[in-house]
Amino acid sequence: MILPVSKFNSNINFTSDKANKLPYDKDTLLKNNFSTRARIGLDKLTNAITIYPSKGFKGDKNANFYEFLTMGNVPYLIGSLMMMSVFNSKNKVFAPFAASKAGALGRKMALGVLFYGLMKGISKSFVTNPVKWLTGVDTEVPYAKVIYELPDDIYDTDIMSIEYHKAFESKDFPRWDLFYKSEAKGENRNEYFDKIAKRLGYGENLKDSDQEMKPVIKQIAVKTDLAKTISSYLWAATGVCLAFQKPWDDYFKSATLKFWKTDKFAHSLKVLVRSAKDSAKSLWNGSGSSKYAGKIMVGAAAASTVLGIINAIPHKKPAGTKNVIDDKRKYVVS
Amino acid sequence: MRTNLIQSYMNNQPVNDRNLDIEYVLSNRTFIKPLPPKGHLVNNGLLNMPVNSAKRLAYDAKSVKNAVQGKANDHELGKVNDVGMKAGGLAIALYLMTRKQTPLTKAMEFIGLGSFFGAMALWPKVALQLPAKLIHGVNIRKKYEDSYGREKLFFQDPQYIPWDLVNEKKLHKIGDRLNIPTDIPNRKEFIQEKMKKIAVQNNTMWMMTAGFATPVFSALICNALEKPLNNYLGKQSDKKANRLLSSINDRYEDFIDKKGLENFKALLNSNKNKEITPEFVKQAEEILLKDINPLTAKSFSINIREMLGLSDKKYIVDDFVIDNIIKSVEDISEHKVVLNKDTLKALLKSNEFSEEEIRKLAHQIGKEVKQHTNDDKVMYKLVNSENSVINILKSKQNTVLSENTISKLMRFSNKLFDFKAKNAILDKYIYLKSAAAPETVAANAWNEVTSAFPKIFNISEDEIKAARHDSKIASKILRDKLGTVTSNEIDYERVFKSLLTKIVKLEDQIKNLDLPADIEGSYEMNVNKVFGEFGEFLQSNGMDESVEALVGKNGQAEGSLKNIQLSYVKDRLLGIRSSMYRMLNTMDLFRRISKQENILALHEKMPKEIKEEVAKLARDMSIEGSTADFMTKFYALRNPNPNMELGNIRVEAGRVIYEYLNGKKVDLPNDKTFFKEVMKLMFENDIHPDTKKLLSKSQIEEGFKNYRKDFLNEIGDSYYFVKQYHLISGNRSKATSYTKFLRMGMSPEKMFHKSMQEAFNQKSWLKTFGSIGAGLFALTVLTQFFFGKMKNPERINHD
Repeated sequence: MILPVSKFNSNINFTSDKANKLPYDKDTLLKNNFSTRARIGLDKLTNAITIYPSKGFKGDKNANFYEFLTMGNVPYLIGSLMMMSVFNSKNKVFAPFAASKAGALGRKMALGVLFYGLMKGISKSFVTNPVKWLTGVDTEVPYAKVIYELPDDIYDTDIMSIEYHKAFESKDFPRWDLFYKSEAKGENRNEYFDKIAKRLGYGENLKDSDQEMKPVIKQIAVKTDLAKTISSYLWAATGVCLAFQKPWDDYFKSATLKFWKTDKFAHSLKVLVRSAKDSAKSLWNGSGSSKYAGKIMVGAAAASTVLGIINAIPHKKPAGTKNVIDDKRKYVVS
Repeated sequence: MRTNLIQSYMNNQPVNDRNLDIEYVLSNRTFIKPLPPKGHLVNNGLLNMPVNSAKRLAYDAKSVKNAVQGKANDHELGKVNDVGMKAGGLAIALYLMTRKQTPLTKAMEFIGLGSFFGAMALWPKVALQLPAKLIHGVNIRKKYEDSYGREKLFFQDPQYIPWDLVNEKKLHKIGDRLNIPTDIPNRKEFIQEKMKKIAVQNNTMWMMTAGFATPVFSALICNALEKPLNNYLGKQSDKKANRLLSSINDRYEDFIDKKGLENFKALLNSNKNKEITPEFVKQAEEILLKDINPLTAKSFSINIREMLGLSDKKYIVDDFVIDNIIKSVEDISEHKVVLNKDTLKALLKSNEFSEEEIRKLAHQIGKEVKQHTNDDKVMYKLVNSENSVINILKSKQNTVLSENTISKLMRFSNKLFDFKAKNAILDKYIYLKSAAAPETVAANAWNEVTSAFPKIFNISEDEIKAARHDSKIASKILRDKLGTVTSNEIDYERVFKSLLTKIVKLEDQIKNLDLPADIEGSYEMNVNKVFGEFGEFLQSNGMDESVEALVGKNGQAEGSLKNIQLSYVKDRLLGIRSSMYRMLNTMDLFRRISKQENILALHEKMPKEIKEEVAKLARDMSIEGSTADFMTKFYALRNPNPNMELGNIRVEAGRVIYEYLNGKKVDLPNDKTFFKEVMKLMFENDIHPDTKKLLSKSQIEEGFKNYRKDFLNEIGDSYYFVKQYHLISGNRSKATSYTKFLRMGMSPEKMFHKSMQEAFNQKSWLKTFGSIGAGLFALTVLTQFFFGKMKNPERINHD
């Protein structure tokens, strides 16, 4: 038998006057729905362009890797706008013919940048959602992490902040602790793991469903991550290819964002839908030397998604693990 | 693999040792120790680059493999992301490449991709790492490898910096570089804090600037690489073209349309000993005459039909045909029984009919039917309906596809496909060399000349800006430049020489194209050989129409396919050379007028006002005259009653000072000498001695001389009914209008205007994004001086 590790007192005596203002006082698993994702996205974006750069430029001792990674969204956004500008901003000074030619290409490039971002964002759910439906494992489930920072001086009590992570963000150290239910509240401690075990056909009422399911869930998370990453870049590439189709020229001719001119705006939307449809057809059918290129591109993106999902779903139970612990012996774990 | 010490300890425990003294073991716990750390700093020198790159590539591959198996760790999944990003980028470049037509545009897709990733990787190195190293002596992008072989940035996570990997002595040395006093308490920790601060600030700067820098520098890299890449690809396609032509006899088999040949064989086999139907002929011709122009194909078709024995066709009318006619007549006339077999047979005198006889027979049948039906329209229906009597009568031919015909057709088709393959090589050669398309050898050489205009003529940015708007403004700027340049000997020599050097280089690139047929390996020799061989084969098989279409008849090759093949090149070269020579001739004309030398056309007896008119028109026409201007013998507004005062025109610093050009003017179509004098001034009067001297050292001297002469003959003597006596020599030119058009070439005004537009677009874009790039770089480097500011710790005095 294993001797239990003695419980240590986790009530760290930090004090913070911010504690009451923050929405969470401890690490909390959040619901993975649109409103949470939007809130987290907005929070991260705001911080990425305000607090984090300000801390970073000051070389704040509390600046951390999470902040650095969150600021990683800034080059994406600025870069996209910059790229659109590189392709288009000078067109107006060119001679009319050159401007029209450069404009047609430049607008498609800009659309390409937009579609790259859109497709990259959307396509992740092409993998994560099916995996969630098929296995019950939501690899994207977010949680709020409460951070205690080093105080600037002895009077500094503003030392708490919230970071938003995903429970399976680190595959080396998934936040399993957040999935356990409280027995003190009369809940089933392993409820989450029981559910997954049942869903994946490992049976019900397992003795240690958490111990059995953790490696399986981790494997699903790793494989899903792979499929999500690779396929999202291929879908993004497909987005760019779609943007380069000729029918978009029709849309650009009538495109307007002046929604108060209802007639023109409605017409523009109609042409947008038509152009999108024709462009999709044009991408698929291709012409000349790119006759099969579109099909290959879409096919590769779709195949990476489907194969990725198939790979991510566990197909067989792991062979029964050899019990390395002899029940009759006494072990000490410190 | 590392040894699992716990497992090894357990395995090595004596099994029967149940009386283990746990207290002893616990007090002697040193048997399980953490393994010694294997982490170390990575040396990223240039020398280690290949090894490091190979290691990283292997690590990436391993990461993907582990991820597929679900075993990857966080670091490996990070690498999978990099792999995915590159794969996505590559997919975009590959797709866009398939949509581009020319080697340069195809290659630029990959340059674009490479430059993007290049800019992304280089920006933090060049704009942050290097300045930080130079200013602070801190390598903010130092890498280390942890005990598990994972390579990471040393300062990646400010909350976890593996300081234990850094040698303390080295750390203090960095401290010295950071000007940290040696006598402060906790100097080591302070150095670390300062280094961390510099790194955090730089990492933030990186994130805030990368979005601006990557697209801009990627575009700038592409911009810088486009020209060298084009030069390289141009040379490659030139070599490729030369290789193709020189090995035409070995390479042509690769160009044979093998599928077409197979299909033709299959068609013949499936129709062997069967009747030759119109459908068969159509299919056979479709395969054989594919890629042959319609006119030549028509001639080939005549000979193919002869070969099939279709030229004097006979149709068979047997019982089967008769039954069909009866059925058709019944259908059309809507009467049950109109004709019976016997009636119809009575109309037939034999069972074989010619085309003419078929028509008569149909007419007779029609009459017969009309008698029985009293329907006036029946005749029309019988002839015109889909199932008409004529079609039925012609449905059976007496020709069958015999083995003899098949072998004749096979011989013909083999030779034809060989010819088409060789012709494809000739076409490809000429396309790569001189087609009116981007990136051909000729187009690249042309661009080399015109893109040098701003530099050669010393055009200022403001002039470029103005000239690109309108060809008339460009024309004025060019005229002024030429005036200034040609008035000064040094400038004239410099500008003419630079232009000449570029044009000679162009000539070098294109001169091989019109080497005469007696030079081994020349294009013309190859064309003669390919067309000659096939022509002989056709001749020996009595295919006269095809021979005529292919190579002409009795030495008259004009209009033949061979002539088109040859004249395409000659025409292209004529157009290119005329344009270039016209520029040189214009410069020479300006020089002669500026220096008032070799201007015989403006002879002593010519009144000064007319001299002004001639000089002005000659200068204008040289620069902007179009084919229409020359063909209509110029529409020149002149004074019908000129002042007869004699004297020379006045030229100051290259500008002609016109004294008589005001007042009402009209065109004078009856003054035939005016046209002559203008033309002679431009093309007949000797070139300026300076021009002669400069040209005498170049290989285009003869060509330029011939250009002036031919221009006079072909354009000066062209006929225009309104001004029919405006001829230089009095003999009418025989040149075709196309030759005249090519002889005219592109006007210097147009050439200059285009060059200015390109220069403007290039400069304007470069100015904006070059400035953004330079500004961003300067700002990023300057901020380094504000990074790492920290107050040195002071010793606390406890007294």
